[in-house]
Amino acid sequence: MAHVLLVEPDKPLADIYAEALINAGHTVDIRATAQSAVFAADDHMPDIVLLELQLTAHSGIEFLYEFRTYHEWEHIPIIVTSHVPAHELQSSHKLLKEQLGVTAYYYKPQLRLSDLLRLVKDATTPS
Amino acid sequence: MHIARRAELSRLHPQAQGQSLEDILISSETALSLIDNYVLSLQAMARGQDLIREPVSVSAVLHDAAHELLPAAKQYGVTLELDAGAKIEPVSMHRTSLQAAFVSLGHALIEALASTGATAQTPLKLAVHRSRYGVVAGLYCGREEITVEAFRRSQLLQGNVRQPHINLSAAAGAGVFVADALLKTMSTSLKVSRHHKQCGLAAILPPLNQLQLV
Repeated sequence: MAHVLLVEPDKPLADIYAEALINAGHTVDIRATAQSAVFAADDHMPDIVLLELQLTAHSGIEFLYEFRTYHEWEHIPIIVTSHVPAHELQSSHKLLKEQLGVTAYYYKPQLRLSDLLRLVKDATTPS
Repeated sequence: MHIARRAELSRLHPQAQGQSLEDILISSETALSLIDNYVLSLQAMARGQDLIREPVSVSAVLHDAAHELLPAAKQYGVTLELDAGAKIEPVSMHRTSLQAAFVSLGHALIEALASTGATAQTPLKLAVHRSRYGVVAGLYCGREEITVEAFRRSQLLQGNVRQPHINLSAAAGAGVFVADALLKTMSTSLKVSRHHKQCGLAAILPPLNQLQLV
């Protein structure tokens, strides 16, 4: 089972995601801001990061730049689940996928919990 | 979205259904209240500034607003405080709109505080005090990001960007603008204010001196 770093500023939603992940056997560290998420990763290296792009002060993109500068975190899968619809980020697709190593991008209102659990399982299970 | 995901979680794990129903109830009541307040602001703007005003006790309005905000505050892990005990003269306002403004503002600030992860250290205070301009009533917290410049910038950005108050909230903070719109229909508006060294957003309300009985 995986250690999930959940970067989610919406507390009730973060609680729901965490509950579902814990019930599925994962451990979860919830962080609301980019800065505290970097500290959390430093304390306990995550197996996967679930990231919202709209954060207070520093954005999710800034977090991605910071996160990927550390060699030991280079290959940690990052799944972006955001309120920003995918079509609005089309121009940033290459940046997110190729430069910042985002594993997958999902529009949050359309991402069901069952899909989220499957994504986490797929991304953290060695092939 | 909270309701949909909570319901889905409840279906996946029926043993936690009691807590899920409670959360769904809070989320749906919060959403309905915010929609009501938004509709009220639109109706008030459409009617123009002809709301029926009455003598209103600001302390009572803040007390009722705090009571309405309490379930959402608990859900977001935010502590609410009320500092409305001072003897303040009544003001001339439309009571329903004034309470709706404070509730909308409260929801926006609760969401903002939770999105910084600093809820334990930063209670949200509903407070009223007297100033030389009138009765100042609003919501205050220990966030230094609430500045005149930041508030002015967010008003310019509103409707054009997803996060008009980027240093304060991860959300759109629509409640701030709904509150401002409601207050404007009563010839006042939201202003950046301080109460006991805490930053916040408040309205200056005209006191009704002829009704001052204390």
